[in-house]
Amino acid sequence: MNKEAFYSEISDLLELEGELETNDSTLIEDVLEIDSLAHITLISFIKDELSFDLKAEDFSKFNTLLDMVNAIGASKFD
Amino acid sequence: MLTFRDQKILISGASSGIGNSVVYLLNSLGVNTVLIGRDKSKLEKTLSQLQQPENASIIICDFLDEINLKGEFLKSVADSGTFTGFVHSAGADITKPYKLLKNNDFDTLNKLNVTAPFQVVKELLKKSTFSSTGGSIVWLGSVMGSLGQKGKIAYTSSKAAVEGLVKSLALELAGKNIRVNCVAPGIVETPLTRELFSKLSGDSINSIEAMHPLGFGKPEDVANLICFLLSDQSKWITGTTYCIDGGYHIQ
Repeated sequence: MNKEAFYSEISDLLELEGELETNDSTLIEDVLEIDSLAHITLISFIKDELSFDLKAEDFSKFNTLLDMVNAIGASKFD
Repeated sequence: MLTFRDQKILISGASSGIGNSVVYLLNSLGVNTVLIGRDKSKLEKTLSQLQQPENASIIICDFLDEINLKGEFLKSVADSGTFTGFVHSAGADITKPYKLLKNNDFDTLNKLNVTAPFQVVKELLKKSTFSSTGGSIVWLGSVMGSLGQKGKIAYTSSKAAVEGLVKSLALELAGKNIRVNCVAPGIVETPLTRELFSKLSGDSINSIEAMHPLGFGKPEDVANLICFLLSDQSKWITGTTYCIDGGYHIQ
């Protein structure tokens, strides 16, 4: 999965279309406040698709989606 | 005072959480136990900390491993003597919204909560390793077996299955004087819960705690109820699910 597809999947999963654009500069806090299940949705999705373990507390270290992508690691993306 | 006449209890999930508390409580009451778990070092640590370690033994087994659950495991159980009870406390949690759920998630939880422990019960009865005078089987359900919660589709369906299984199995085994019951806890402070909470926001955790009027439970709170259901004092109770959740379900 490439980075753009990753952002698109996040948008689909959290039904962000029309509410929030997902790109490098999208603020994590805006994504997380969309839904009470947003934390666990992202954590499960990243674990299942990228085999990367995130914890809820990790989100506080990220400002944008790009920060999260960088933490996951470029090697995980095409 | 609970009484246990010549009892030997098989306990899955014995190395942590509620199962572990059941082991300590039964051991302190002088009951023989056989502890099942995946992690040998954790089981040995538990064994070393018991008041009466001579009354306990361990069997290593992963209930999610089909091969492990057959052959050697069943032989170990059969070699352990005659049982008067089985507590199925091994558990796992899968919390995912419906869009991320896969068939495999349902399979994992159904195997761990329903089919694997059922296979153990069946083998106990088939191999005459269950007392001919009867006994007690206790399944760990969840308050989620009768309620819904976002992200808990696979978990709730599996725990609801446990409640159904317990009723029907209780009817089939009543003639053998074997009682079958389910204990359905709310959120209990266990390693499994800590793992779940590591994936939730602080706000979500606070709102879950607010839904438990008496706060979160401790493993020993649930262990006390399980030990009652194993004891002679509950000899007229079967096919029932006991909710123990600090008031979660009454709201």
